[in-house]
Amino acid sequence: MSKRFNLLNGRHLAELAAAGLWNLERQASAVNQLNVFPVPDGDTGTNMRMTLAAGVKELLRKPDVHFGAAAAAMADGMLLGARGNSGVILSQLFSGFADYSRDLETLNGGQLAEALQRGVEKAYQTVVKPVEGTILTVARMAAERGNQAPDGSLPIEVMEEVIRAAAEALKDTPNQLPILKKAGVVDAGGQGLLYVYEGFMRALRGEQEKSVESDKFSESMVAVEGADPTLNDTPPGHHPVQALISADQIQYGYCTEFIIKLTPGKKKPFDQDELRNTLSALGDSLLVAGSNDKVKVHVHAELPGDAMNAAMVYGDLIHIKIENMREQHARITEAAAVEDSAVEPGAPEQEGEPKPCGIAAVAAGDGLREAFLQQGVDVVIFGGQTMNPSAQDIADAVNRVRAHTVFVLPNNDNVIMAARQAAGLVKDKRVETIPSGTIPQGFAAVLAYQADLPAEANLGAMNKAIRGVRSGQITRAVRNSSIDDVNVRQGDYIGIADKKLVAAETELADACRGLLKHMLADGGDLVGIYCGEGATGEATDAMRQWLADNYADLELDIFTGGQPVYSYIISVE
Amino acid sequence: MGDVRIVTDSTSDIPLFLRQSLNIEVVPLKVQFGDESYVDGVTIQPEQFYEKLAASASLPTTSQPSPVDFVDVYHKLADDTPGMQVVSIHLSSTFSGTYQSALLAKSMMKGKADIHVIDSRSASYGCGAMAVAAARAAQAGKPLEQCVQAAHNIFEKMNIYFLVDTLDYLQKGGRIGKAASLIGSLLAIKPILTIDDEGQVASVEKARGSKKAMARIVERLQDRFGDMPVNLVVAHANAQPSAEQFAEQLKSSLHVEEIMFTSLGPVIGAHVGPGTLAVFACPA
Repeated sequence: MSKRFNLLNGRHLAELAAAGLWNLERQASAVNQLNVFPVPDGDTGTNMRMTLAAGVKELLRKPDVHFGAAAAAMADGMLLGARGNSGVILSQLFSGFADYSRDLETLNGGQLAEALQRGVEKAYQTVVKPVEGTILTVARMAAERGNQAPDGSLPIEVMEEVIRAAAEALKDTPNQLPILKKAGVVDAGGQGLLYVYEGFMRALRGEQEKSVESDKFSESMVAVEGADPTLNDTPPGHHPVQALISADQIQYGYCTEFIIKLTPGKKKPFDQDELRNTLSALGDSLLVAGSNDKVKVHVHAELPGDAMNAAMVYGDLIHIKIENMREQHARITEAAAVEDSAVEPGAPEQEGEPKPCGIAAVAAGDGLREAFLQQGVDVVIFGGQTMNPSAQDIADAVNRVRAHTVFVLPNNDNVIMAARQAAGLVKDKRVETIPSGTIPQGFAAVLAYQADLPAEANLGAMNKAIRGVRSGQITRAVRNSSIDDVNVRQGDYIGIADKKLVAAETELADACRGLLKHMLADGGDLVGIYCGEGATGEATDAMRQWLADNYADLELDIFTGGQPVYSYIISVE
Repeated sequence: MGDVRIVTDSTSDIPLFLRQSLNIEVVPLKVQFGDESYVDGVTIQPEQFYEKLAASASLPTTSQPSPVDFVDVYHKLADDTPGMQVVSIHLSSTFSGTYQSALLAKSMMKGKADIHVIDSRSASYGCGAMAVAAARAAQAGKPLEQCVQAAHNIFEKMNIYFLVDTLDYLQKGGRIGKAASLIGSLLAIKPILTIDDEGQVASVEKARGSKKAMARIVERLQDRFGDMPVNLVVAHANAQPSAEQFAEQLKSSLHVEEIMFTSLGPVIGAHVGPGTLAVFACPA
C-alpha cells in the first residue's frame, strides 16, 4: 500500500490491524513495564495485545473486502477478547470506529479521521469516570488532530497527524496524572495505543513484510512499488502475525510458554541474560519476564523441549503450554489459546430451574477459589493480578450460572471494565457488575449476599459492603522506584494500601507490620490475612504477635488463599 | 373459674424474680456430665454449668422431662386450686421432646384438669416471653383463650437473633438446622442466627467477626422497629461483659422501653456453647 492509495478497503484494514498487532506484540513488554507501582502487575501491554489479537483473529475468520463489514468483525472480536481496562478501552475505540464505517465500502482520509473520532466518543461513554492523562486522552488528541488534516488528505497523511498528536499527548500524560509523574512513567495504555497506530502507519507506508500471501487473502495487500526495502526493520524471523496468516512460512513451529519456579539453593541461580541468549538461539518472539521467585518464558521455537531443558536448570517448570502453530495457524497469537481456559474446571453448566440470583467471581489461588465457592459463588473465573480474564471469559462464566440475575465480582481494579463489557455480551439474563477492586472487597460483597433476597436488595447490599472494607497487598518490587515518598529497591517487599504505596522493606515481616500499622491507623475491628504463595510462617507469626501486642481487641482471621503475586492480601474492616 | 395457671420448662430462661412474681411453674429438663445428672435450674445453676462445661472433656447430654414430671406439676396445681386451667408452653418440638412429654402428661391426667399445651416453635426467652405474656393475662383475670392468644401475639411480634462463638455445639448437639451449610467455613464467618417460622435454627446473614455481627443485628432491628418503643431481653451464655456491651449498642440505636438480662440456662447452653449472645426484641 503506497501513498497512491487514497481509499482503504477491508483487506487494507486487515493489513493495518495485523501490523498494529505485530508492532504492539513486539513492544508489549515495554508497555508492561510502564507501571505506576513497581509491582509485578504490568500487564497493560499484554492485555492490549490479547484484545487486538482477538479482533484480528475474528477479522481473519470473516475476511471481507467491504471496509465496514471487516471493521465490524474486528470490533466484535475485540469486544469479546477485551481484557484489562486498557484492553476494554481499546475495544471501545474500535467499536466506535466500526460503527462509523459500518456502511462504507471504502474509507478515505477524512472518513478515517471521522471514524477515529467516533471511537473516541464511544470510549468516553463507556468509561464511568473518564480520567485525563490516560489512553483516552491520547486517543482523543490524536483523533482531533486527524480531523484537522486538510480536506482531501490521504489516509497516510491523516495517520501522520494522528501519530504526531498521540505522541505529544502521551508525553504530556505525566503532567495530567500526578501519579505517573511520581512514578516517572508515561501512561501505559496511551503508549500501547501509539504502538498500534505506529503499526498502522508501517502498513500504510508499506514497511511491513512485502509479500504477504495468505490462504485467506489471495491478493497481496502490500503495494510493492515505491516501498523502500531498507525501511523494513522487521526483526529477522519474527513475524507472528503473518506467520499465522500463512502456515508454511512459519520458521519456528511451536509457541512455547511456561513459568520457571525458581528454587535458589537447589538449582542454579537464575541468570536472565544467559537464559535469553540460550533461548534466542532456539527461536524468536522471546519474552523472559518475572519476579524474584517466578519467571515467565514465552518463545516460538522449533524444538520446545530444548527450550524447556535450558530453563529447567534454574527451577521447576509450571503452567507449561505448547501450541503447534502450523496446525493452528488460524490462531493469531497464543492469546487465542488461553481464551477458553479461564473458567475453572469443575464448574459445569448448572442445571434445573434458574435461581433468582447467582454470582460469578474472579480469583486465582486454590484457597480463595474454595472460599468463594463455599460462600455461595456459583462459578469462579480464574484470573486476577497479571492474568486478567477477557470479557468473553467472564461472559462464558456468567452463562454457566442458572440464574435470572448474575452478579459479577471482578475482584481486581483492572478487571472491572471487562466485567462491565461482558455484561453487555450476555443477552438472556441480567448481569450486574459489583465493582469489587480487590479480593477483600469481593469477600465483603459475597458475605452481604443472600440467596433468598431479590436482586435489587442484593445489589444494594453488595455495593454497600465493598465500601466497608480496606484492602492491602504485599508483593515484591520488580524495579527501583520512589513513589508516595517511599523509596523502593528492586526485590523489596512492598505494602500497598488502597492504591497507595505505604511500606518498602527488605524483610517480609517488616513490610507486613508496616502495612498493618498504616491500615489500622483509622481503626478497625477485624483483620483478615490471606496468605499467598510467597507467605512464610515467620511473617504470619510476626503479624499475629504484633497485632496481639498492639491491638488486643482485634478479631483476626488468618486463611490460606494460595494466591500468586501477593504474598499477603490483608483486609481491615 | 377464671383461674389460669402458666407452666413452662426450664429452657425458657425466665429470670427467677419474674417467674415468682407471675406465678409461673417451671418443669426442669436434665443435664448429664458423664455419670453425673443434674436438674436444670434446680441442682445446677448457669454459672456452675459453664464452669463444668469448661472443665469437662466431653460434651454434656440433655434430656427432656418425663411425662410424670409434668403430671406431678399439673396435679399439684389442680390440688392447690381446684377447677383451675393450665396453659403449658414449651420448647419447640423441633428441638426437644419436652412438648411431647407435656402432651402425654395431659392425656395421663384423664381430664382431671383443663390443660392447654402449646408448642412454642421457639426457644429460650422466645418461649419464655410467650409464657410471661400468658401469665400477665392470667394475672389480669383473663380467660384461658385470651391467655393463649397473648402468647401467640408475642410469638408473632418476636424478633430473635443470636450469635454463637462456634457452630460446633449446635452441630454436635444436632440442632444446627438450616445453618448446617456454614460448618467448615474457610473464613471466620459469624453467622447471624435466628429461629425461623418452622422452629429451626437458620442463618439470616453472614458477618465477618462478632463486632460486625452485633452491629448488623442492631441495624436489622433498627430497620424493623425504627422509632417504635421496644422491649428487649439480652441473653448470654456466660458472657456478661459482651452482653452488656451489646445492650449498650442496642440502647443507643433503638427506642428501648425496657431491657432485661438473662442467662442462657444449662440445657440451651449445652447446645449453643459458652459465649453465645441472644437478643429477643418485641414492640413495647
